[in-house]
Amino acid sequence: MAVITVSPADDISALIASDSVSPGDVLLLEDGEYFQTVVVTKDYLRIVAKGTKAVLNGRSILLTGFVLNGVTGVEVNDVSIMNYLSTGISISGGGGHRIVGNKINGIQSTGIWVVATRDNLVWRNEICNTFDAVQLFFTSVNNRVIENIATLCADDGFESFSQNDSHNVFAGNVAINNGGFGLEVWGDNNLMVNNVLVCNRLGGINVSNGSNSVAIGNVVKDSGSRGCFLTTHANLFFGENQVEANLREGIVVSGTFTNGIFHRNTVRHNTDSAITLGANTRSNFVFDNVFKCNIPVNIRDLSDANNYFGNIDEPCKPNELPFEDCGGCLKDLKERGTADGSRYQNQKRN
Amino acid sequence: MDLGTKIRREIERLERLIADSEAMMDQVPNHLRPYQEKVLELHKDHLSKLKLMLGE
Repeated sequence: MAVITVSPADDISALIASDSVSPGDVLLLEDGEYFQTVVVTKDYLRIVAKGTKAVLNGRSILLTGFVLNGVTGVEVNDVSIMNYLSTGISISGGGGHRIVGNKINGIQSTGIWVVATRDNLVWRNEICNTFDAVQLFFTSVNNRVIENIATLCADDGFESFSQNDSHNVFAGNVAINNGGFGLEVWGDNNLMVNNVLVCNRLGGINVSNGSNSVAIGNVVKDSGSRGCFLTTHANLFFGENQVEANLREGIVVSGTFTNGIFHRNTVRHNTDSAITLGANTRSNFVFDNVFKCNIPVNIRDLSDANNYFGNIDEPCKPNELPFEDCGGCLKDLKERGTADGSRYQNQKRN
Repeated sequence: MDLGTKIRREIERLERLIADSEAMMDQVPNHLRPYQEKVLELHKDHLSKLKLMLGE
Protein backbone atom coordinates (compact mmCIF):
# COMPACT_ATOMS: atom_id res chain seq x y z
CA MET A 1 0.00 0.00 0.00
CA ALA A 2 1.31 3.44 -0.89
CA VAL A 3 0.45 7.12 -0.84
CA ILE A 4 1.46 8.57 -4.20
CA THR A 5 1.59 12.29 -4.84
CA VAL A 6 0.38 13.33 -8.25
CA SER A 7 0.86 16.63 -10.09
CA PRO A 8 -0.94 18.15 -13.08
CA ALA A 9 1.95 17.05 -15.31
CA ASP A 10 1.18 13.38 -14.64
CA ASP A 11 -1.13 11.34 -16.83
CA ILE A 12 -3.18 9.87 -13.99
CA SER A 13 -4.90 7.23 -16.12
CA ALA A 14 -1.56 5.92 -17.35
CA LEU A 15 -0.17 6.00 -13.83
CA ILE A 16 -3.11 3.97 -12.53
CA ALA A 17 -2.70 1.44 -15.32
CA SER A 18 1.00 1.06 -14.56
CA ASP A 19 2.67 -1.27 -12.07
CA SER A 20 3.38 1.77 -9.84
CA VAL A 21 -0.19 1.72 -8.54
CA SER A 22 -1.91 -1.16 -6.78
CA PRO A 23 -5.45 -1.58 -5.47
CA GLY A 24 -5.81 0.22 -2.14
CA ASP A 25 -3.23 2.90 -2.95
CA VAL A 26 -3.88 6.57 -2.32
CA LEU A 27 -3.33 9.13 -5.05
CA LEU A 28 -2.90 12.60 -3.58
CA LEU A 29 -3.62 15.29 -6.13
CA GLU A 30 -1.50 18.41 -5.75
CA ASP A 31 -3.17 21.75 -6.35
CA GLY A 32 -3.29 22.78 -9.98
CA GLU A 33 -5.24 22.31 -13.18
CA TYR A 34 -5.48 18.81 -14.60
CA PHE A 35 -6.50 18.86 -18.25
CA GLN A 36 -7.34 15.19 -18.57
CA THR A 37 -9.85 12.41 -18.20
CA VAL A 38 -9.02 10.05 -15.37
CA VAL A 39 -9.91 6.48 -16.25
CA VAL A 40 -9.77 4.35 -13.12
CA THR A 41 -8.99 0.73 -13.88
CA LYS A 42 -8.07 -0.64 -10.45
CA ASP A 43 -10.22 -1.35 -7.40
CA TYR A 44 -10.16 0.44 -4.06
CA LEU A 45 -8.02 3.39 -5.17
CA ARG A 46 -8.41 6.56 -3.12
CA ILE A 47 -8.08 9.69 -5.24
CA VAL A 48 -7.96 12.65 -2.91
CA ALA A 49 -7.20 16.34 -3.37
CA LYS A 50 -4.23 17.22 -1.21
CA GLY A 51 -5.26 20.85 -0.85
CA THR A 52 -8.30 22.80 -1.93
CA LYS A 53 -7.48 23.54 -5.56
CA ALA A 54 -6.98 20.33 -7.44
CA VAL A 55 -9.11 21.09 -10.48
CA LEU A 56 -9.93 18.73 -13.31
CA ASN A 57 -10.73 20.99 -16.25
CA GLY A 58 -12.04 19.51 -19.49
CA ARG A 59 -11.87 22.91 -21.19
CA SER A 60 -15.14 22.06 -22.96
CA ILE A 61 -13.24 19.60 -25.15
CA LEU A 62 -13.04 16.47 -23.01
CA LEU A 63 -16.12 14.42 -22.24
CA THR A 64 -15.70 13.23 -18.67
CA GLY A 65 -13.62 14.00 -15.59
CA PHE A 66 -13.51 10.63 -13.85
CA VAL A 67 -14.48 7.33 -15.43
CA LEU A 68 -15.13 4.46 -13.01
CA ASN A 69 -16.13 1.65 -15.30
CA GLY A 70 -16.36 -1.88 -13.95
CA VAL A 71 -14.25 -1.23 -10.86
CA THR A 72 -15.05 -1.48 -7.16
CA GLY A 73 -14.65 0.65 -4.06
CA VAL A 74 -12.92 3.73 -5.48
CA GLU A 75 -12.98 7.00 -3.56
CA VAL A 76 -12.94 10.40 -5.27
CA ASN A 77 -12.63 13.06 -2.60
CA ASP A 78 -12.54 16.87 -2.57
CA VAL A 79 -11.69 17.32 -6.23
CA SER A 80 -13.07 20.23 -8.29
CA ILE A 81 -14.33 19.24 -11.70
CA MET A 82 -15.35 21.69 -14.39
CA ASN A 83 -16.02 22.26 -18.08
CA TYR A 84 -16.61 18.72 -19.34
CA LEU A 85 -18.96 18.03 -22.23
CA SER A 86 -20.66 15.02 -20.73
CA THR A 87 -20.17 14.10 -17.10
CA GLY A 88 -18.13 15.14 -14.11
CA ILE A 89 -17.92 11.66 -12.67
CA SER A 90 -19.20 8.65 -14.59
CA ILE A 91 -19.76 5.41 -12.72
CA SER A 92 -20.84 2.38 -14.71
CA GLY A 93 -20.89 -1.24 -13.63
CA GLY A 94 -18.95 -2.24 -10.52
CA GLY A 95 -19.93 -0.33 -7.39
CA GLY A 96 -19.21 0.45 -3.77
CA HIS A 97 -17.59 3.77 -4.68
CA ARG A 98 -17.35 6.76 -2.35
CA ILE A 99 -17.81 10.07 -4.14
CA VAL A 100 -17.31 12.65 -1.42
CA GLY A 101 -16.99 16.42 -1.14
CA ASN A 102 -16.33 17.18 -4.78
CA LYS A 103 -17.30 20.44 -6.46
CA ILE A 104 -18.70 20.02 -9.92
CA ASN A 105 -19.48 23.03 -12.09
CA GLY A 106 -20.16 23.64 -15.77
CA ILE A 107 -20.90 20.14 -17.06
CA GLN A 108 -23.10 20.04 -20.13
CA SER A 109 -24.77 16.76 -19.22
CA THR A 110 -24.69 15.14 -15.77
CA GLY A 111 -22.62 16.04 -12.72
CA ILE A 112 -22.46 12.53 -11.29
CA TRP A 113 -23.78 9.78 -13.57
CA VAL A 114 -24.49 6.50 -11.82
CA VAL A 115 -25.18 3.85 -14.44
CA ALA A 116 -25.97 0.16 -13.92
CA THR A 117 -24.14 0.07 -10.62
CA ARG A 118 -24.85 -0.45 -6.94
CA ASP A 119 -23.89 0.33 -3.36
CA ASN A 120 -22.30 3.70 -4.08
CA LEU A 121 -22.11 6.62 -1.67
CA VAL A 122 -22.53 10.12 -3.10
CA TRP A 123 -22.00 12.43 -0.15
CA ARG A 124 -21.52 16.16 0.33
CA ASN A 125 -20.83 17.06 -3.26
CA GLU A 126 -21.69 20.51 -4.56
CA ILE A 127 -22.97 20.51 -8.10
CA CYS A 128 -24.09 23.44 -10.19
CA ASN A 129 -24.58 24.47 -13.79
CA THR A 130 -25.07 20.98 -15.17
CA PHE A 131 -28.06 19.34 -16.88
CA ASP A 132 -28.87 16.88 -14.10
CA ALA A 133 -26.79 17.07 -10.94
CA VAL A 134 -26.96 13.38 -9.94
CA GLN A 135 -28.69 10.78 -12.08
CA LEU A 136 -29.13 7.08 -11.27
CA PHE A 137 -29.66 5.13 -14.45
CA PHE A 138 -29.99 1.65 -16.00
CA THR A 139 -30.80 -0.44 -12.93
CA SER A 140 -28.76 1.38 -10.32
CA VAL A 141 -29.69 0.05 -6.91
CA ASN A 142 -28.77 0.48 -3.24
CA ASN A 143 -27.06 3.80 -3.77
CA ARG A 144 -26.86 6.47 -1.05
CA VAL A 145 -27.16 10.07 -2.21
CA ILE A 146 -26.69 12.12 0.91
CA GLU A 147 -26.21 15.80 1.83
CA ASN A 148 -25.34 17.01 -1.64
CA ILE A 149 -26.19 20.42 -3.05
CA ALA A 150 -27.60 20.86 -6.54
CA THR A 151 -28.26 24.29 -7.86
CA LEU A 152 -28.75 26.07 -11.17
CA CYS A 153 -28.98 22.81 -13.10
CA ALA A 154 -30.98 22.88 -16.33
CA ASP A 155 -33.00 19.81 -15.42
CA ASP A 156 -33.29 17.80 -12.19
CA GLY A 157 -31.28 18.04 -9.01
CA PHE A 158 -31.39 14.36 -8.11
CA GLU A 159 -32.97 11.67 -10.23
CA SER A 160 -33.51 7.93 -10.40
CA PHE A 161 -34.44 7.51 -14.02
CA SER A 162 -36.75 4.53 -14.35
CA GLN A 163 -38.60 1.81 -12.50
CA ASN A 164 -35.47 -0.34 -12.49
CA ASP A 165 -33.59 2.17 -10.33
CA SER A 166 -34.66 0.96 -6.91
CA HIS A 167 -33.71 0.66 -3.24
CA ASN A 168 -31.84 3.97 -3.31
CA VAL A 169 -31.63 6.61 -0.58
CA PHE A 170 -31.81 10.38 -1.09
CA ALA A 171 -31.27 12.07 2.27
CA GLY A 172 -30.43 15.57 3.42
CA ASN A 173 -29.84 16.90 -0.07
CA VAL A 174 -30.52 20.49 -1.06
CA ALA A 175 -31.83 21.33 -4.53
CA ILE A 176 -32.41 24.99 -5.26
CA ASN A 177 -33.21 26.83 -8.47
CA ASN A 178 -33.05 23.92 -10.88
CA GLY A 179 -35.01 23.80 -14.14
CA GLY A 180 -36.67 20.42 -13.59
CA PHE A 181 -37.58 18.72 -10.33
CA GLY A 182 -35.49 19.03 -7.22
CA LEU A 183 -35.91 15.31 -6.72
CA GLU A 184 -37.31 13.00 -9.40
CA VAL A 185 -37.58 9.45 -8.16
CA TRP A 186 -38.84 6.51 -10.19
CA GLY A 187 -38.57 2.92 -9.04
CA ASP A 188 -39.36 0.71 -6.08
CA ASN A 189 -38.52 1.12 -2.43
CA ASN A 190 -36.60 4.37 -2.71
CA LEU A 191 -36.21 6.52 0.40
CA MET A 192 -36.39 10.32 0.33
CA VAL A 193 -35.77 11.90 3.70
CA ASN A 194 -35.02 15.41 4.95
CA ASN A 195 -34.29 16.90 1.54
CA VAL A 196 -34.76 20.63 0.98
CA LEU A 197 -36.21 21.39 -2.43
CA VAL A 198 -36.77 25.05 -3.10
CA CYS A 199 -37.51 27.14 -6.18
CA ASN A 200 -37.30 24.30 -8.68
CA ARG A 201 -39.16 25.07 -11.87
CA LEU A 202 -41.12 21.85 -12.49
CA GLY A 203 -41.57 20.99 -8.84
CA GLY A 204 -39.94 19.84 -5.63
CA ILE A 205 -40.59 16.10 -5.67
CA ASN A 206 -41.72 13.83 -8.46
CA VAL A 207 -42.33 10.22 -7.45
CA SER A 208 -43.35 8.13 -10.40
CA ASN A 209 -43.58 4.60 -11.77
CA GLY A 210 -42.81 2.16 -8.96
CA SER A 211 -43.92 1.04 -5.55
CA ASN A 212 -43.21 1.08 -1.82
CA SER A 213 -41.18 4.29 -1.74
CA VAL A 214 -41.04 6.49 1.35
CA ALA A 215 -40.80 10.30 1.58
CA ILE A 216 -40.40 11.75 5.07
CA GLY A 217 -39.45 15.17 6.39
CA ASN A 218 -38.79 16.87 3.09
CA VAL A 219 -39.27 20.61 2.60
CA VAL A 220 -40.81 21.62 -0.70
CA LYS A 221 -41.20 25.34 -1.26
CA ASP A 222 -41.64 27.95 -3.95
CA SER A 223 -41.69 25.56 -6.89
CA GLY A 224 -42.50 27.02 -10.30
CA SER A 225 -45.30 24.51 -10.73
CA ARG A 226 -46.65 21.81 -8.40
CA GLY A 227 -44.87 21.15 -5.14
CA CYS A 228 -45.10 17.36 -5.26
CA PHE A 229 -46.14 15.45 -8.35
CA LEU A 230 -46.84 11.84 -7.37
CA THR A 231 -48.01 9.50 -10.09
CA THR A 232 -48.44 5.82 -10.90
CA HIS A 233 -46.96 4.50 -7.68
CA ALA A 234 -48.30 1.92 -5.24
CA ASN A 235 -48.02 2.03 -1.47
CA LEU A 236 -46.10 5.29 -1.15
CA PHE A 237 -45.62 6.55 2.39
CA PHE A 238 -45.56 10.34 2.41
CA GLY A 239 -45.16 11.70 5.92
CA GLU A 240 -44.20 14.87 7.80
CA ASN A 241 -43.30 16.75 4.66
CA GLN A 242 -43.60 20.52 4.60
CA VAL A 243 -45.10 21.74 1.35
CA GLU A 244 -45.70 25.42 0.97
CA ALA A 245 -46.00 28.39 -1.35
CA ASN A 246 -45.78 26.45 -4.59
CA LEU A 247 -47.16 28.02 -7.74
CA ARG A 248 -49.82 25.34 -8.31
CA GLU A 249 -51.03 22.47 -6.11
CA GLY A 250 -49.06 21.47 -3.06
CA ILE A 251 -49.45 17.76 -3.78
CA VAL A 252 -50.90 16.17 -6.92
CA VAL A 253 -51.61 12.45 -6.89
CA SER A 254 -52.37 11.12 -10.34
CA GLY A 255 -52.28 8.13 -12.65
CA THR A 256 -53.05 4.72 -11.20
CA PHE A 257 -52.02 5.52 -7.69
CA THR A 258 -53.10 3.10 -4.98
CA ASN A 259 -52.73 2.43 -1.27
CA GLY A 260 -50.61 5.47 -0.52
CA ILE A 261 -50.47 6.92 2.98
CA PHE A 262 -50.29 10.69 3.52
CA HIS A 263 -49.63 11.33 7.17
CA ARG A 264 -48.78 14.43 9.22
CA ASN A 265 -47.82 16.61 6.28
CA THR A 266 -48.12 20.37 6.54
CA VAL A 267 -49.37 21.84 3.29
CA ARG A 268 -50.09 25.51 3.18
CA HIS A 269 -50.21 28.66 1.12
CA ASN A 270 -50.08 26.91 -2.24
CA THR A 271 -51.71 28.70 -5.13
CA ASP A 272 -53.98 25.77 -5.85
CA SER A 273 -55.28 22.95 -3.65
CA ALA A 274 -53.20 21.41 -0.87
CA ILE A 275 -53.80 17.94 -2.28
CA THR A 276 -55.53 16.82 -5.45
CA LEU A 277 -56.22 13.13 -6.00
CA GLY A 278 -56.94 12.18 -9.60
CA ALA A 279 -59.71 10.07 -11.07
CA ASN A 280 -57.71 6.82 -11.03
CA THR A 281 -56.47 7.02 -7.47
CA ARG A 282 -57.75 4.34 -5.10
CA SER A 283 -57.52 3.42 -1.43
CA ASN A 284 -55.12 6.14 -0.43
CA PHE A 285 -55.30 7.12 3.22
CA VAL A 286 -54.95 10.82 4.01
CA PHE A 287 -54.80 11.37 7.74
CA ASP A 288 -53.61 13.77 10.44
CA ASN A 289 -52.36 16.31 7.93
CA VAL A 290 -52.53 20.06 8.31
CA PHE A 291 -53.98 21.68 5.20
CA LYS A 292 -54.05 25.37 5.65
CA CYS A 293 -54.99 28.22 3.39
CA ASN A 294 -54.56 26.71 -0.03
CA ILE A 295 -56.38 28.40 -2.89
CA PRO A 296 -59.18 27.72 -3.72
CA VAL A 297 -59.66 24.55 -1.61
CA ASN A 298 -57.48 22.35 0.53
CA ILE A 299 -58.65 18.92 -0.63
CA ARG A 300 -59.82 18.01 -4.12
CA ASP A 301 -60.65 14.35 -4.78
CA LEU A 302 -61.74 13.42 -8.28
CA SER A 303 -62.24 9.73 -7.55
CA ASP A 304 -64.03 9.60 -4.20
CA ALA A 305 -62.27 6.27 -3.61
CA ASN A 306 -59.80 7.45 -0.98
CA ASN A 307 -60.03 7.65 2.79
CA TYR A 308 -59.66 10.64 5.08
CA PHE A 309 -59.32 10.97 8.82
CA GLY A 310 -58.25 13.60 11.29
CA ASN A 311 -57.02 16.21 8.86
CA ILE A 312 -57.06 19.87 9.73
CA ASP A 313 -58.74 21.52 6.77
CA GLU A 314 -58.47 25.23 7.39
CA PRO A 315 -59.44 27.88 4.85
CA CYS A 316 -57.57 31.13 4.52
CA LYS A 317 -58.26 33.86 6.94
CA PRO A 318 -58.86 37.25 5.32
CA ASN A 319 -55.59 38.44 3.82
CA GLU A 320 -53.73 35.42 5.20
CA LEU A 321 -51.87 34.36 2.07
CA PRO A 322 -48.55 36.10 2.54
CA PHE A 323 -47.27 38.38 -0.14
CA GLU A 324 -43.58 37.69 -0.45
CA ASP A 325 -41.06 39.69 -2.36
CA CYS A 326 -39.41 38.22 -5.42
CA GLY A 327 -36.07 37.69 -3.73
CA GLY A 328 -37.26 34.71 -1.69
CA CYS A 329 -35.25 32.11 -3.57
CA LEU A 330 -32.10 34.20 -3.55
CA LYS A 331 -32.46 34.46 0.19
CA ASP A 332 -32.66 30.67 0.47
CA LEU A 333 -29.60 30.29 -1.69
CA LYS A 334 -27.54 32.64 0.40
CA GLU A 335 -28.70 31.23 3.72
CA ARG A 336 -27.59 27.78 2.67
CA GLY A 337 -24.20 29.00 1.61
CA THR A 338 -24.30 27.79 -1.96
CA ALA A 339 -23.86 31.24 -3.36
CA ASP A 340 -20.39 31.60 -1.92
CA GLY A 341 -19.59 27.93 -1.39
CA SER A 342 -19.06 28.49 2.30
CA ARG A 343 -21.03 25.51 3.53
CA TYR A 344 -18.11 23.15 3.85
CA GLN A 345 -15.39 25.73 4.14
CA ASN A 346 -14.54 24.83 7.71
CA GLN A 347 -14.10 21.19 6.77
CA LYS A 348 -11.50 21.85 4.11
CA ARG A 349 -7.86 21.18 4.64
CA ASN A 350 -5.53 24.17 4.69
CA MET B 1 -43.69 12.63 -18.38
CA ASP B 2 -43.93 8.98 -19.42
CA LEU B 3 -40.91 6.69 -19.66
CA GLY B 4 -40.94 6.69 -23.47
CA THR B 5 -40.69 10.47 -23.57
CA LYS B 6 -37.89 10.44 -21.02
CA ILE B 7 -35.94 7.85 -22.98
CA ARG B 8 -36.43 9.69 -26.28
CA ARG B 9 -35.19 12.87 -24.67
CA GLU B 10 -32.08 11.08 -23.35
CA ILE B 11 -31.44 9.49 -26.74
CA GLU B 12 -31.64 12.87 -28.42
CA ARG B 13 -29.25 14.38 -25.90
CA LEU B 14 -26.76 11.50 -26.17
CA GLU B 15 -26.83 11.48 -29.97
CA ARG B 16 -26.10 15.18 -30.06
CA LEU B 17 -23.31 14.78 -27.52
CA ILE B 18 -21.71 11.91 -29.44
CA ALA B 19 -21.93 13.79 -32.74
CA ASP B 20 -20.40 16.93 -31.22
CA SER B 21 -17.62 14.94 -29.58
CA GLU B 22 -16.73 13.08 -32.74
CA ALA B 23 -16.69 16.34 -34.66
CA MET B 24 -14.20 17.89 -32.29
CA MET B 25 -11.97 14.85 -31.75
CA ASP B 26 -9.15 16.56 -33.66
CA GLN B 27 -9.01 19.20 -30.92
CA VAL B 28 -8.23 16.56 -28.31
CA PRO B 29 -4.47 16.23 -27.74
CA ASN B 30 -3.09 12.94 -28.98
CA HIS B 31 -2.13 11.62 -25.57
CA LEU B 32 -5.70 12.16 -24.29
CA ARG B 33 -7.45 10.73 -27.32
CA PRO B 34 -7.59 7.07 -26.15
CA TYR B 35 -9.46 8.16 -23.00
CA GLN B 36 -11.84 10.33 -24.99
CA GLU B 37 -12.48 7.40 -27.30
CA LYS B 38 -13.07 5.11 -24.32
CA VAL B 39 -15.70 7.51 -22.94
CA LEU B 40 -17.25 7.83 -26.37
CA GLU B 41 -17.56 4.05 -26.58
CA LEU B 42 -19.30 3.98 -23.19
CA HIS B 43 -21.73 6.62 -24.39
CA LYS B 44 -22.47 4.68 -27.55
CA ASP B 45 -23.09 1.60 -25.44
CA HIS B 46 -25.55 3.56 -23.25
CA LEU B 47 -27.21 4.92 -26.36
CA SER B 48 -27.78 1.45 -27.77
CA LYS B 49 -29.21 0.31 -24.40
CA LEU B 50 -31.58 3.27 -24.40
CA LYS B 51 -32.75 2.39 -27.88
CA LEU B 52 -33.26 -1.18 -26.73
CA MET B 53 -35.37 0.11 -23.82
CA LEU B 54 -37.46 2.04 -26.27
CA GLY B 55 -37.83 -1.03 -28.49
CA GLU B 56 -36.05 0.46 -31.47
